[in-house]
Amino acid sequence: MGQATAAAAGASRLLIKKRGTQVKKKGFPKERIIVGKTPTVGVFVCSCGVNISGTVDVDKVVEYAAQLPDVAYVENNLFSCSVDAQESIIQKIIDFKLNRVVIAACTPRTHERMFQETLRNARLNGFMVEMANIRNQNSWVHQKDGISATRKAKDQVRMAVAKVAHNYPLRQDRIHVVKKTLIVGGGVVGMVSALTLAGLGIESILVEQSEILGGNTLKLETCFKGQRVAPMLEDLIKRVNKDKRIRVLTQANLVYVAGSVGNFQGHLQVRSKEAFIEFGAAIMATGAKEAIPSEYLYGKLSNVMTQLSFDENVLYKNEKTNTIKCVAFIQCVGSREPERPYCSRICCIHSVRAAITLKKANSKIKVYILYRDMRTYGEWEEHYKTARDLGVVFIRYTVDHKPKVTEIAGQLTVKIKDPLLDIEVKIKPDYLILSSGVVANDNKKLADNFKFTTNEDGFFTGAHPKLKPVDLSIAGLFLAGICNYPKPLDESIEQAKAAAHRVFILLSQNEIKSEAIKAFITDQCDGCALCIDVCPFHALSIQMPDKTKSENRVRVLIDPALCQGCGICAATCHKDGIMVHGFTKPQLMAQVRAAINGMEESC
Amino acid sequence: MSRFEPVIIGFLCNWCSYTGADLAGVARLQYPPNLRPIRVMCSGMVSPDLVMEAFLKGADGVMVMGCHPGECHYLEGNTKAAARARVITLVLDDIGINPDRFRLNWISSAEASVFAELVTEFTIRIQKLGPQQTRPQNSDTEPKHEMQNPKSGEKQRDLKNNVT
Repeated sequence: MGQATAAAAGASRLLIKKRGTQVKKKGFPKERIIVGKTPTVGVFVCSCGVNISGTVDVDKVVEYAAQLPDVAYVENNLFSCSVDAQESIIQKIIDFKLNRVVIAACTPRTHERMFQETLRNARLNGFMVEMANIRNQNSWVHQKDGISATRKAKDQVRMAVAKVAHNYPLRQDRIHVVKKTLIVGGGVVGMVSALTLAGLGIESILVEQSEILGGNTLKLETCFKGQRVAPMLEDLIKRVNKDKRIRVLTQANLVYVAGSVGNFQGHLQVRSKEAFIEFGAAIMATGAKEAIPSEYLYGKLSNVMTQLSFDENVLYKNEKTNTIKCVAFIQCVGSREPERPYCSRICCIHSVRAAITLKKANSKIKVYILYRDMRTYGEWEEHYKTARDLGVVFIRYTVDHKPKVTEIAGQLTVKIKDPLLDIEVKIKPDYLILSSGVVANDNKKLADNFKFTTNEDGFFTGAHPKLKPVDLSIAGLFLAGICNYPKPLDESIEQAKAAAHRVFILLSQNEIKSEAIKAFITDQCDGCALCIDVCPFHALSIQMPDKTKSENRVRVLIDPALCQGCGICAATCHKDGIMVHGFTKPQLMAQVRAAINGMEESC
Repeated sequence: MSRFEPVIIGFLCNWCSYTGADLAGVARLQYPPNLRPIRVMCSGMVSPDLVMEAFLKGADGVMVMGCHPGECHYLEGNTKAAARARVITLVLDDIGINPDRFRLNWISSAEASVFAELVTEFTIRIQKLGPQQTRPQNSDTEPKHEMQNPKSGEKQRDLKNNVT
């Protein structure tokens, strides 16, 4: 998904001049007013080919539904989602003056939005439909018991009819979109995101906390494919600084954020000054860092180094490689252990590449890589093969029998039991390199500011690892690069482009619609404020009575921009003073009661 | 006599457990047909009133299913659900309904097999427990409780200790 989205960014860039020229705007007819009308429900039972009708006796369900209260019309469709069936549903809504619809078919998670549009085309509010999931949660999972499945389908239809009778029209507010992106982090990922967006005509504010752009990449000599990083980085920085659509702010920190998708406001601390910014979306590209080892005499001897410091101080200084006789790498230092259980993915490849570089510079250098499991995944397997061909020695160890490192008079000795030879091997390296892996930066403040969470290792996680890998769980927020999890530069760049494209989709609209599923206050609210503390999004506050209007009631006030519709407030309030549209107490109660009542008759 | 077919109400959160249940369908995992699913946005949305209403109307079992701790779409709705579950268990015991008839589970959107296993396991458990006695035989009868003399004093103390 990430790769595909990144490719879509490239394609969109090529099509940018023609964008929107062939779009037909979808319009809906004016809604019928149904307030005060008694519920008139139409039930459409889908066969889904044989997916449903192969197990559930659809005719019996139709027959049963027809005698349920409020039901005015029932029909069976071969595929309720087909264009023909849609037309038929629209026509039936008009002919039978239906004001509520139940679709007994598949899951609302995939088809609810589509059927909402069907209703809108029939001049009904989209929220007057309920789905009874008689496929995914019935016919598919009770294939051997058609009788019980049919009974369950009747119950599900009855529950949906009971709920839909309590449905009422909902509105979605239109939100004006600020066509500007905030990008947090001025490394390669942040810069690529900014440039991709600039190419798509979207402005961005690139915020970097250090004095210069470049981030971790400043410490890299080559990327995994062998190209030198410095020229690429210079070019990138030059292009970012030149582009009028990118505002670069270095030595800048985000202090405070408010608002929601399409309309965020933020306070920045830029050196000694404060700045106020507005943006419609944001990309987190805050990177991560090399872990500092606490084992193998690190910090006590100058020739025990991490991967990055070895690169910088030894490997790419030719005069040094001429005199080296022996180098040893230890993999998984501090990694894949209870305190840091994850694999950092890039250290194996990094060490193998360093070993190749050493061997190519001076083939007489003895190079040892001590590893637990080699993970030169994908095309990087080639590097592993090359390293072996060049004579790099790989010795495996287990976490219970780690190598032992000692020092006498400046000479390092690494002892390790070779499991293949079954003897203890002594290595006397000039340099010992510890592959310590990647740890997350301190992202807590940023996450708190935007009100999302990090995982237990401190990394940001996508809303869905496969379907929404660069979206954060909060609408309008995206992520890219190693603030997500450790990955090589090319994968990070790909994510940067993907995140930019996700932002582009959002910000290329002039306005967006807010969700309708949000909390609302009822007349029962007495301002007790019990709901305020439980709201994870700080969307609730207390409103004191306006004395000038001779009010005397304290009430709770909802900020609809912040409310996500989770309903924690509704379940906390025992006075039914606050509820969530689409999932009100009467709606859920009706479902509960319908699930139990009428069990006998549906048998 | 035919096998006892219990009525089990399941509150499934939209983001994890409902999606996991959908996936169980896609994978054609088979489980008993006794669960009557109700989709909610979050397990934290399930008011204890709904659970109690289900039992008082005669449900044989109630399952609330949400996202794993730390994975709640709304950050902490599931932890609120867990806190409520503790209270619901105590209240059920107090009014004489076996608390084993109520269950809170975490199911991620990928854990279709876990969903199928848990529903199977819970259905078998309820079948062993038999019909829930508050289920009205006809509309005139008062609910009968499984446990006639709950040790109310002790239970109230428990409540206090656990809720504070």
